[in-house]
Amino acid sequence: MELIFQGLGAVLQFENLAVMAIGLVVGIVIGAIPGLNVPLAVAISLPITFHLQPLAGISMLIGIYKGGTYGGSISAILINVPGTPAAGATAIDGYALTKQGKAGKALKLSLYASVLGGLASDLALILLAVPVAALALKIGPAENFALGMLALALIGVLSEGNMVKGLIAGALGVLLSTVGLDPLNGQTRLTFGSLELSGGFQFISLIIGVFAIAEAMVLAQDTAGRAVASIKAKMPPSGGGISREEWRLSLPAMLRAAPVGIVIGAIPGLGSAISAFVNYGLARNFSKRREEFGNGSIEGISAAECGNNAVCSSTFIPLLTLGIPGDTITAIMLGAFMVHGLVPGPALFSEHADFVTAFFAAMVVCSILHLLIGRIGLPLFIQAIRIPNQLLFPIVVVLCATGVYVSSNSYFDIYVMLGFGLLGFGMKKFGFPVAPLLIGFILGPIIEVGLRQSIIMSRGNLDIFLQRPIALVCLALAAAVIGWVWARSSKGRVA
Amino acid sequence: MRKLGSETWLAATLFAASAILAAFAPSQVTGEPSQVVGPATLPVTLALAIAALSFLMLLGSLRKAAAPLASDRKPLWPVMVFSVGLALYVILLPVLGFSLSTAIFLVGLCLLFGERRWRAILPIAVLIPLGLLMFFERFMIILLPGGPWS
Repeated sequence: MELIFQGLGAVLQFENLAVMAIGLVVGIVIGAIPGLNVPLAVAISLPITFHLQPLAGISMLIGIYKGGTYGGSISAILINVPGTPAAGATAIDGYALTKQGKAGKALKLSLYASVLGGLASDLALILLAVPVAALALKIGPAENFALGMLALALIGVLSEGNMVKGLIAGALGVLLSTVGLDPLNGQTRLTFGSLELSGGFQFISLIIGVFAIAEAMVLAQDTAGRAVASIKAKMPPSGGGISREEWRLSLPAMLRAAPVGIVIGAIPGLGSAISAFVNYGLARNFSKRREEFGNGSIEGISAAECGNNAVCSSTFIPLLTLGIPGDTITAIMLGAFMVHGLVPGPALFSEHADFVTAFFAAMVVCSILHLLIGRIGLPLFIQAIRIPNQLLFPIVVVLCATGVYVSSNSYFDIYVMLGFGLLGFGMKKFGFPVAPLLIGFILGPIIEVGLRQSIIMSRGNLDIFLQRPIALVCLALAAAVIGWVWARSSKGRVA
Repeated sequence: MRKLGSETWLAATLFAASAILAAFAPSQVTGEPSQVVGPATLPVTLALAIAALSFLMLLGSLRKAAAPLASDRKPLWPVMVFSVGLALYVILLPVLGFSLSTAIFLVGLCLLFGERRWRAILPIAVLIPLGLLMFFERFMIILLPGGPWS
């Protein structure tokens, strides 16, 4: 408890609060703008955080993550265009309320549900992370390898698109991580004689390339140089407050959605969009007013938004305790942790206990700030939807190039970013999911070091993976998940 | 003879590229291999895995009708213009400096993305480079390419 108060003291310093508030505003605005997304916002901001204190840098990214996850609901409610995939479920009833002249009610409800989901998830992170980390102390190289394989299998198989493409993307991500110096004996590999490649591909070039640059290429292709008219959407922020009766309806939906969202967030590969839609479906099943769903249901918005945001903190449970990112954003955050010399895993809790408690406190403080900023700044965030993409994307591209340059002081990395942009563009066009590529790149060194250390320990005997129960269970689960999805898709083809 | 779809060509290319990589990866490792599982093991295994998965993708695409992807109809030239523009921007950065090259690049990008209102383009082309320069050089103390005027 004393540590928590110490953490709170560290977070409540002006610098940390200021960057967290900036992060929240940036996240909400970017989340609200259709075409931009949260991973892109986190990726663009990453180079700036490299130059801040670790807690300040991570606080800013937390703000962007939480703000962006909520921000998608603003455009979903006002113009029926979800700013993020997770806001798709909110759009169903949110836009229906807007058409009834109750946009203000929908926006406020979405904010309160998001904050409640976020706070519940923060609490789950604080309560569960330490026990899980204690269990994770039993993990050695064999378990690291097996956990990495399980996470990769889950993310490859559960991502959008077909399973084979997901697995190819994951394998390609790990392959890209092997370029440069061998992590065990320092030999160079796959550099094709390039001195610049001997350090490997920079993480920042990869994520900015596959997210932001690829997105800009898609927009360039869509507009093809033609003049584009600006969005002229009518956005009435009116519609009144939330009555006691509406609170009575929405609170049970939120309280049901929060634990479901927390569990979904803690499982690698699922994420907030799945949580939003699962919780929307659950709320409809439990509701006594099913006919209102699709026509402006208060319960529908509450469940979707609360479930969507309840994922945010619980995705950090596998990241902080096992070093396994559960989705794209936590994969980017893992990179941010590592840049600051903080390696997620059980050792983080013993070696950097002060940071971990400050991180927990930052999560809670961010949720409270989210409520304040969301309530005060709503009129500003609504205006963000009016910024046309043809003006926004040139700025995003310049921010990307500048961010990559300042992070490494190298022009070569901007070319690498361009190369990864083309890769991301090709992947989008051919239906390959991007998340497994990124997570494969992040997990690559963990998987490789785990595999090779295990084999060195067992003097070349692969039985080590069968003799260690956690490793065996993880590898069996990975094989079972792939087998199950394979069988299901084969059955679908036959039928 | 049935016309092959773009996915089939992609799968065949991926298969060939990964098979070639699997064959050449060991020659791309410096030093002597010292362990059973050495530096080349994982790249070779992954290249073989991608080759096997591409082969499965190839089989799957051959089973399907060779319908071209909807996106195939969209022109690729804007992506090429964008890529060449970004490469030129990187070349211009040390020559003209951050502010001027970024301003030129921003104008080009706005036009490529379909913006035609100069009253919107010009303020962005002036304010964004100056704002970034101020932010990084004054606030973050990180120097950006200065060009001939530095």
